[in-house]
Amino acid sequence: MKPVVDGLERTHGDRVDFVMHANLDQDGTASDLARARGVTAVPTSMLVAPDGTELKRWVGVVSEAELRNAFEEALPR
Amino acid sequence: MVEYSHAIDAQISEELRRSGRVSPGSIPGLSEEQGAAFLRRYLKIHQAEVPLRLEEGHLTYDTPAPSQPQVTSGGSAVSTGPAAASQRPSPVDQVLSQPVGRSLLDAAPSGGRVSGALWLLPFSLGAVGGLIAWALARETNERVARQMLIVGVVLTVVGFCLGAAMAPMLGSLSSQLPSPSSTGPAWPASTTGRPVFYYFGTST
Repeated sequence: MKPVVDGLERTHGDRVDFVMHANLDQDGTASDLARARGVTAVPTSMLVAPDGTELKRWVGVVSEAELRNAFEEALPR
Repeated sequence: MVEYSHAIDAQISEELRRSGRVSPGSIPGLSEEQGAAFLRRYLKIHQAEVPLRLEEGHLTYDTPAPSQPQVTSGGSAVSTGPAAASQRPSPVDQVLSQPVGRSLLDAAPSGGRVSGALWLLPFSLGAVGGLIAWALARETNERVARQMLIVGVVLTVVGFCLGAAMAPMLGSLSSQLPSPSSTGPAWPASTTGRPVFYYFGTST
């Protein structure tokens, strides 16, 4: 899953901010943050609007195409 | 307390037919006082059907004077006198020979015992249950049937009032619940003005 996200960051990094917590098993702060955000399984991905509204949440592995489509829908045209 | 019933009514009719006179103490299972009360009720129920009277507490036929002409059900006068009287059927037989229908006794339910299970209907179904219970019990005991109907209607009204009173409270409770993920700013707003993609996982 992480390589897929890295690929998306390369192609959409100029229009979407990426916040990666890729070591939940070792990073206690990240674990607390994940718990506070209702993350109950890994991997979990969220797309959040600029005003903080959660637009989409994926639990489990998700395809690059699906993420890309979600990004295109969320970005201003 | 023995209630006036069809059985007692029939018992009095039979005694009246057999001996032409019923004493308050001659009804089995009843005290003299209760017997007198039942004889008064019998007279009240049947006085329009049979010429009866209470004579010193005893129920007897109130036989009309022989000189009075008797009128048949068709309205024509018939002959009177000892010969005609001997051919005439007794008043009770006249009543019994009438077509069977809804009598005055049927119109006044005897106040019998209604099954307590019927109370489940108004308590579980409200007004609808009360209506069903009323329909089922009114022949047996009209007073209890009416109470069941009232209880059902009252419970329904109270339920509506409680629901209406609690609606704003429930609304405020639901507003305190966590909002769905698609609404409300659950995340910090972006400092760059761009959408943010969060990834929680492992490095693989």
